[in-house]
Amino acid sequence: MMLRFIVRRLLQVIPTLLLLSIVVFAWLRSLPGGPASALLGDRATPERIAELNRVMGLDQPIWVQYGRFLGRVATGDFGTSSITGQPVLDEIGRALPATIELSVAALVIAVGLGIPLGYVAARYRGRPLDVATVIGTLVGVAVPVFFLGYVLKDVFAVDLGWFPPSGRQSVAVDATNITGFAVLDGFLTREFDASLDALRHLVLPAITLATIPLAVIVRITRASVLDVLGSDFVRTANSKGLAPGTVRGRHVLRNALLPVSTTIGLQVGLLLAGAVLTERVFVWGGIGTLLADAITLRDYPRLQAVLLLGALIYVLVNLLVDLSYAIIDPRVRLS
Amino acid sequence: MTAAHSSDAAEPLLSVRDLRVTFQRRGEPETVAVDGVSFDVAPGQVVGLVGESGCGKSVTSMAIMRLLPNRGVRVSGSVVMDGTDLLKLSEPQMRERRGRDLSMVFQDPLTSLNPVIPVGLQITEVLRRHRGMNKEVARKSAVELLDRVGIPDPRRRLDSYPHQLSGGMRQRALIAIALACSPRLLIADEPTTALDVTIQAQILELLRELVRETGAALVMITHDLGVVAGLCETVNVLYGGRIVERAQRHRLFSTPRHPYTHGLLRSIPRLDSPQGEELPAIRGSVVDNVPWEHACAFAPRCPRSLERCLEVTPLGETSGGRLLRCHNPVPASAE
Amino acid sequence: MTTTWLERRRSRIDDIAGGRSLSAEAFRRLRREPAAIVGAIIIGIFVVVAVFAPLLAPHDATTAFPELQENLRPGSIPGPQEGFPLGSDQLGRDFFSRMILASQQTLLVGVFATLIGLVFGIVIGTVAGALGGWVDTLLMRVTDVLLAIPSLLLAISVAALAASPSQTTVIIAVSVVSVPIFARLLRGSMLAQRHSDHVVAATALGVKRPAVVLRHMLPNAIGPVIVQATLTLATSILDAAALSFLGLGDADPGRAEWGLMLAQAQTYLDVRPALAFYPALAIILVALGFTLLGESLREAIDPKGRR
Repeated sequence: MMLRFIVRRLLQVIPTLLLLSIVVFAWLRSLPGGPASALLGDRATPERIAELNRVMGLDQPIWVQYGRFLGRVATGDFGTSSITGQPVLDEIGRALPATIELSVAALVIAVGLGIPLGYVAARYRGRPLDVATVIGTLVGVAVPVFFLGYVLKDVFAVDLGWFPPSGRQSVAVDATNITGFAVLDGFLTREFDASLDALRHLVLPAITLATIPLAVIVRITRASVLDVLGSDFVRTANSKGLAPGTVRGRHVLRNALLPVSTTIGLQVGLLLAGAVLTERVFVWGGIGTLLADAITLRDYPRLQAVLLLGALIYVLVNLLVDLSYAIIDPRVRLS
Repeated sequence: MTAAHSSDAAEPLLSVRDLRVTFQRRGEPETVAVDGVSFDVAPGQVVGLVGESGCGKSVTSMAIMRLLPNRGVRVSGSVVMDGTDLLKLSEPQMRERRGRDLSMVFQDPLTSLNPVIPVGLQITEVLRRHRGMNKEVARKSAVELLDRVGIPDPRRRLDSYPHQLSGGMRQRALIAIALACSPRLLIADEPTTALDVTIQAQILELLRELVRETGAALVMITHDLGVVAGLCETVNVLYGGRIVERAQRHRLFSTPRHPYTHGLLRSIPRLDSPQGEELPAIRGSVVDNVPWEHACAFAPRCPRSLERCLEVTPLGETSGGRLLRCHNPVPASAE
Repeated sequence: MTTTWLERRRSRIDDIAGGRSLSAEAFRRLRREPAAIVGAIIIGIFVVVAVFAPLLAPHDATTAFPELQENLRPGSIPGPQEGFPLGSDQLGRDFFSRMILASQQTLLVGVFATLIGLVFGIVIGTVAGALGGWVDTLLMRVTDVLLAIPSLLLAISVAALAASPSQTTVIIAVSVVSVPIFARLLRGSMLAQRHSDHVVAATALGVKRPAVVLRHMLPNAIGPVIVQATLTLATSILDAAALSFLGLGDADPGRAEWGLMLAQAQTYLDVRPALAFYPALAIILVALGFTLLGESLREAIDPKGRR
């Protein structure tokens, strides 16, 4: 029963992914000058373009091209960066852990702080804490991410010196790289000062990145809890004389957190976008930096790969969220 | 004031005196939902609370259970059970009594049950809370309870979710929950309104049996006179937040004295009424009410209203085991 | 003090006679809501400033003044002084005037991006919802894909398609992000209404399909669309600023637009933070204003009127 649901959901994702690949393919074709000149970048001359066209099979019918495109994507051949000349996949592989580390940290902040805050705001609705929280969420989504990043950097890193202003690790700290996750690596090699140093570097960027997801999660949690608090079954639970903790945990939260989990999936997409901006500000060296450089320098192979990857991750995360919904909500599971 | 019931004038189980509930929404004038309601319930008695939507009957029951929200709500008067005024208890003290001494069955069985946990758990949690049972014993008791309320295959049903049960079964489950700890007072708020007619009859029959078996008293809240006729010994008719008539069931139906009761009974279509005649209805609606403090709330709609009715508030007068609040009641000998 | 039943009866009849509709009810609720009032005030000020900007600004946006330029040094940009209330920007122009004039450009960006998104979204959504079947499936699949891509990445992709970035590119890129949102919204409303009584009744009475859609279904969808449009106005401005920050915005340094100014000011943060601070504050306030208004509208038009 569960398996059927999982399989069904997986099958639903495939057409979306296929369509996504078509969209990216079409997008690549629409880049100014055509894909050949896009790939060649500055080194494009008419002869080179014609040569590349032939090599890349651009004189072939469009579906053949698409098929080869899919094949290349499937084997992970995203071409080479027109800036560095390195295979794009390798570049991504090296940069990905940095972004994942940052995103996880931001997510932990957003969820770990957001859900309790949202609950408390709903519970004490109308009181000062609630009002302040609501105002906070409204302002939170109105602040441009990169501006916030710079403000935090200026105040806490430059002026106060509490945290390092950029990068993932201090040059002074000699850290060994295993997984690419700086904090984890420190633990694995028992170089705890490296872990600590990495954590210190994480703080400001993570807070910056977490701001918008935090605001959204607080808002959704609060709305959802308010909704559930007014529901009939909570009234029934109260009429049984159950302990407040039981009502809160088993009846309120278990229902209220369902829509919140969907939102968390959506937030991952926002995290990816926010990472682009945040990494720029804090010179983080992750996918965001890769993307930002690709934009400025018109490195289309890289751009294409990162965008495709971004969308892919988003789709997969949302799939995971849907599946988790099935685990938590029996109504979905058993239909 | 003594309550009229068939058994001897023993100490009443529940004694409601001058219950008054007002609501205040932001920026709006205060609304009086319950305006000085007083009635008694003897042990094992079935008392009806009848009235149309908006007359305050549900609010009365919520007030007795202390389930009304704190903000914007004011409750005054007294609700005495076992010598204690429930309105004066602290919340933890009231929690002790809910589910154990008094419990409630609500109107909509689908929304009144927690959708994400199994039905069995919703029963066992009451048992474990008030009777301190461990999981095994509680589950066994729950199975017995489900059986007693007429749910087939109770052992399997323990692990079913609410959406997997039919409307009738859900309501039975709710009744099982309410009676799990054998409370001495059960309040049923329109328990059959959301159900099909055939199921309605079954549920009412079930309630009657259980009440007789357990010796619990039942306060039946409904707008349906048919329900009242089959079940209740004493009937309170509410209008505009006040009781306008109280009588023994047979007397109420044979000789309704208050024009409202009279109008209600007359408006029930009968098979043997002459064809072609207009259905007698009470003109106007609840919106036309006047506040009780100045006059009789029903006066604008009353076919028997006098000038006095719009100027002086009628007091509730008891005589011969009957309460009547009217300046110009229907004569005792009339149809 | 309670009114007499007669007075209430009369006012009830007046209500019905005066044609008090759902929108009037919503408007009444809105007027009392502090969030809506604050939002409306902010937006009101913004719109007024934007409309009268040329009159309000003492100078223009591109002239570099010698008095300011002569004090420009690496590591120092002149602050407020006589005739220049907010001092100079990085090129010796009057910062105050640029701030005021930028309100026009920023408003234009927001409005155009939202309008384009709205129009395309409504058309796609209405067609999908009204026609149903394979048209609906196809359109919704494409919409899903667009929604699957994080909005900023989508905007970046669209902006990257342009050979040379410009204000127009930014507007179009940002609007593409909102098209699937409006489309989904409209389609959802159409779908929900297809089986509702008033639509079935109209069809049964012989009203032709297009008329049913336009005259009976569309008006009911307007509420949520307005709410979303207000919110999109806020996000468009923010997304446009982000695009500028990343270098995909208007390359013309002369243009005065808050997002652009904010992006350009990043390099001068330690020299003169005010250059970033004021545009940021303006953007935040405007985004906040639209968000407040949008959220209040959403609560006001909720027919269930839950509080």
